[in-house]
Amino acid sequence: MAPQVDGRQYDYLIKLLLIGDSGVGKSAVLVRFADDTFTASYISTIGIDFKIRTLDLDGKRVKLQIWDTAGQERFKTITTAYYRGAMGILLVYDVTDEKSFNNINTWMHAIKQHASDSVNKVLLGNKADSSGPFVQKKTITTARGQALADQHGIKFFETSAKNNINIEEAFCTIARDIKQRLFDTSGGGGGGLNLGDAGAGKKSCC
Amino acid sequence: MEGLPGHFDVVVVGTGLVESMVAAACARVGRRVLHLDTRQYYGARNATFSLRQMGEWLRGEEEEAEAEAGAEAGAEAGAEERRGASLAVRAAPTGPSRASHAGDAAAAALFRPAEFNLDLSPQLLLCAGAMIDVLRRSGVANYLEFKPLGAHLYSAASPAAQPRLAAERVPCSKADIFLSSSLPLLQKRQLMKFLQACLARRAGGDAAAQSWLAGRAVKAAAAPDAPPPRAADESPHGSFAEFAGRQRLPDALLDVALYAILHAPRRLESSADGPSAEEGVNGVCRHLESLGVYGPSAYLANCYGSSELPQAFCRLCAVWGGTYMIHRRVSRILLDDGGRMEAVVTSEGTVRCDWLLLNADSRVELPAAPPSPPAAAPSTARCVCVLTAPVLGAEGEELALCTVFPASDEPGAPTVFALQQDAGVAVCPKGKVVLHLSAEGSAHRSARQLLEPVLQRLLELAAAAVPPPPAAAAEEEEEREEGKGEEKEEEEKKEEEGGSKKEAEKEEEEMKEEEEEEKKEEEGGSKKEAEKEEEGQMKEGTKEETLDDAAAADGGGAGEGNDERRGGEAGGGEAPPPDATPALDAPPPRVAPQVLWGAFFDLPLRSSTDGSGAALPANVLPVDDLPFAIDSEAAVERAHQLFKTICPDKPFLPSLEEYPPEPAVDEMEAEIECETPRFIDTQFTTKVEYERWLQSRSSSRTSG
Repeated sequence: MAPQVDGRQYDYLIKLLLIGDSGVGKSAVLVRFADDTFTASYISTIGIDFKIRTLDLDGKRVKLQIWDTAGQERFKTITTAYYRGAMGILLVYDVTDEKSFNNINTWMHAIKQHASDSVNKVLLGNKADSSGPFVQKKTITTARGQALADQHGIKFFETSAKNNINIEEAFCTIARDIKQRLFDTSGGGGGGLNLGDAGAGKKSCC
Repeated sequence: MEGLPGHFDVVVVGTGLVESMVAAACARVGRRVLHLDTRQYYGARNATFSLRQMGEWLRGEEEEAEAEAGAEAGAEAGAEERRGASLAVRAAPTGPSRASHAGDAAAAALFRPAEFNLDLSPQLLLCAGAMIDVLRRSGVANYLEFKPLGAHLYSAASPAAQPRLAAERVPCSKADIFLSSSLPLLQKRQLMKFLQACLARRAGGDAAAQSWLAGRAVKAAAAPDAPPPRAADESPHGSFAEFAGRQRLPDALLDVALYAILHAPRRLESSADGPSAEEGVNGVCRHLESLGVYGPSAYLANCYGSSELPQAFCRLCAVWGGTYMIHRRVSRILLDDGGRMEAVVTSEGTVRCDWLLLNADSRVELPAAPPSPPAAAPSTARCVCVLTAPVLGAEGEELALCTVFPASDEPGAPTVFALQQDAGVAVCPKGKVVLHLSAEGSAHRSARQLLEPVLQRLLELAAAAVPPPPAAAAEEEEEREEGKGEEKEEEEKKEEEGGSKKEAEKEEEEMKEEEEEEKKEEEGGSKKEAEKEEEGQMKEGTKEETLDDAAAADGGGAGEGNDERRGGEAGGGEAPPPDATPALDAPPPRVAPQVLWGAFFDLPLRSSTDGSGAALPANVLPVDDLPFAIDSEAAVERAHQLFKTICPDKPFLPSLEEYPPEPAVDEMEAEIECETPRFIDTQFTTKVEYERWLQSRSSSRTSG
């Protein structure tokens, strides 16, 4: 099902979403993965729409289109449209913030309501830094994170956007799972008509 | 709750299509936007609901929740009371008037709630229209998926006057006209000439006419923002009907142009009535330009329901820094000494702002406002139903629009727009279709009275088109007999399907019955209907309880309700346990469509000021409900006007090339680099954003 557009620069296009409370580092995770950069200063997300990165998975070019919440999660006002057509969702909490961890269940519920049934999910405990101020402040143990992931039957990673820990692994894992689910068996998706060319116009880096 | 900044350039209340476009347009050119909605969902009048939500909305359950939210906000407003004048803002009712259900919760229980996306105001996009243009250049199209309309049809026969309501294809392209079997040769020639004349009337029209004649796509003649060019030879005055008369277009074809292409909402009183020649010619040309752009017809539908459109604009707004809070409202407008609005009281605190946009979910209490809205408030008549099979279009054309022309013998009769959607646009499960009927409402007739005859005709016509399978009736009888004896517990899927079929039969009978009743008691009119509705609600309520347990609703619950409704009349040997009806195991290509669930309702066209808009402060802009339109062109125009009021010098939802982010960011980047490891260029797209970021950084430093 390789799309004909873009002159066959990729074999598969996978749409991923980032979801989680405000301030858990979703944008930092995204920027680390897509641009391999990091900024410690916290601001509410503005300006990040989605980013593109193409991976080589088992000899296939897989183009990941990763969407950020555009700050709409701040007042729990994510549009239902955000979830449309997502093939994978990365749920992110902050290992130093109990509330963001507890809210994962709320986000899971929203996903169940609005995303497609078969969407792949992965849980990320972000800010699990190896250095800096957050090392001391970690309150959610790895075991609790793993237990929550097990409860929902999804994979779990403790990540650090700052120290670039497990970011690559998390994205590659979910991308591989989606590729297996959608493309390796039969034909795969094939959605509606796309008027624009998502990914070509916006500020993507690779 | 985190605090809000104390000042915004624009506060927008309401997430309908127009409001969302204005919010996005403002944020896009650097305005700080706070976007609220009083409801718990996005879209206001452009909302899309699941089956359950639709039921709740129809019963007005949501109103209660709103009343509570309103009380809360009112308390806050009291606390904020302060010097100077202010205007109170109340939540306006959003629900339908004169609604009647023809479906029920048991039908809903057959499906997952999320499987349906039912529009309050279904819309299509004209391929060469202003909406598609805006979506493409602003990048909002990236957030959406579309499907081309499969069939664009019309039905000239009015259901009341004629027994048949045959649907014909709207002939537009050269091929359509040649292939049409319904047009006599002479009319084909006249139509060809007329369409060429329309194209030639516009600037650069000769080339366009040539292109159309050669069967190619017609390029848009004018830039989207430019005023339509005016041909020199023709007088710009006069109506489209008169223009068509001069071009010797036969009346039958004039009707096609007027109702199927220009979407005139009601029967013209005289040929001087209706769209002007200018508007009409532009509309016809725009239609011709839309052919073959994305598909054979002139329209696109967006997947997942029409609420995706405003939501996509909301995302653009958020990406450009807009702040979003839904289920919150503005309860008070604070005025300065000059009578201008200077701040609004929200449930999150008082916010100063330069502009306020209010949709009709809010109503400003003006001192001089008339006490009540006029009795004959305009409305839109709507019908939504879930069918077991398509009523429009051929195989593979389940996404279809059919314009039913207004009755010719009835002055002011409305045009009915029938939009059929299928699983291809992700609004319902596979094998079902959603049918929307929409028309200009009437003060004298409810939505049901206006639209039910059309629905019935469409169903009958579709049923008549299905060749009756041999001995089908006998088979059905047998199945029923068998069903009685069989165990209830069968394979879950079969049970569901069987149930849905029975349900459908029941519903259809019920609708017919009710229709009959209505006819008998026409004089009882609205009161009777209100009563009936209440009754329905009560039953609805009792069923709702069993909703959680689908099996229960399917079995006993549905059976009981069934008997009760029939009032013993048709009870007979039919109270069916949902059994394994094998009929749907291998569905034939076309089956007679049946109504699984349906509702009629009137959507009143509301205003935030009830018509006394002149008394509002100049920087408070009301966004009144737009009259129903099958395409979104009017919404774009309205949004554009509002935006130009707020930002007269800025482009409306420009492309990145046309209005790039401020280049100043690059210089700043170097400065910051010495403090942070590396600055990310995508964080800020405008200078304003960068400065805001600097501020937030310095404030967080002082507080931390």
